[in-house]
Amino acid sequence: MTLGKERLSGRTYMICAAVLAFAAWCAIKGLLFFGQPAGALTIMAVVVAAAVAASLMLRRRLDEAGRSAERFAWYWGGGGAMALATVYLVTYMAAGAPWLDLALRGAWSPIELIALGAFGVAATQVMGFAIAGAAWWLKRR
Amino acid sequence: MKNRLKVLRAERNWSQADLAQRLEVSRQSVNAIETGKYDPSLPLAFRIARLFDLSIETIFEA
Repeated sequence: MTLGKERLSGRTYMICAAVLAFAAWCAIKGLLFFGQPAGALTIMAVVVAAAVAASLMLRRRLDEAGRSAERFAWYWGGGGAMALATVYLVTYMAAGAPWLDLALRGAWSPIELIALGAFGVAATQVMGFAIAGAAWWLKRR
Repeated sequence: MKNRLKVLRAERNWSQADLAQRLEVSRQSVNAIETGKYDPSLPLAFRIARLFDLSIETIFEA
């Protein structure tokens, strides 16, 4: 599913750089708002830059079937998992949501809630992506 | 989409990995194309046709 030679266009790199710059700006503004130390910002910037670089390298090595699998996995896996998670959250909140209740009473700080939310979204999408991607390849074995 | 890729490959005693290397795609992609479970893009179909020195319609049929 991976192999060399395929190259991403300059436009793709520019879009990635623009999205990354915007995300970094938002994240830094947000973290500064919550009074996070500069060390945390530096670590976050390094981790995000490494993740983006790894993603681009992996994407560049995918052949056309791999890219089809990836598109399918992000659309159906990532999107489907988020839809299921939304249904779960709505059901959970309708049932009283003891966990959200705790959060609203101040058991967690705003920055902890943001981190939990970001982690929840990322983990949900990655799980959906992995399942849908595996299904795509298994179906074509 | 049906195709003659497996036969053409066998005639040349190439493994799926050999063909994949020649086409610059993964072995999994070759397998998926051979079994008719993945339709290659037009550029890849041209590469396949060029590699076997045949026309696209000789290799693939709808």
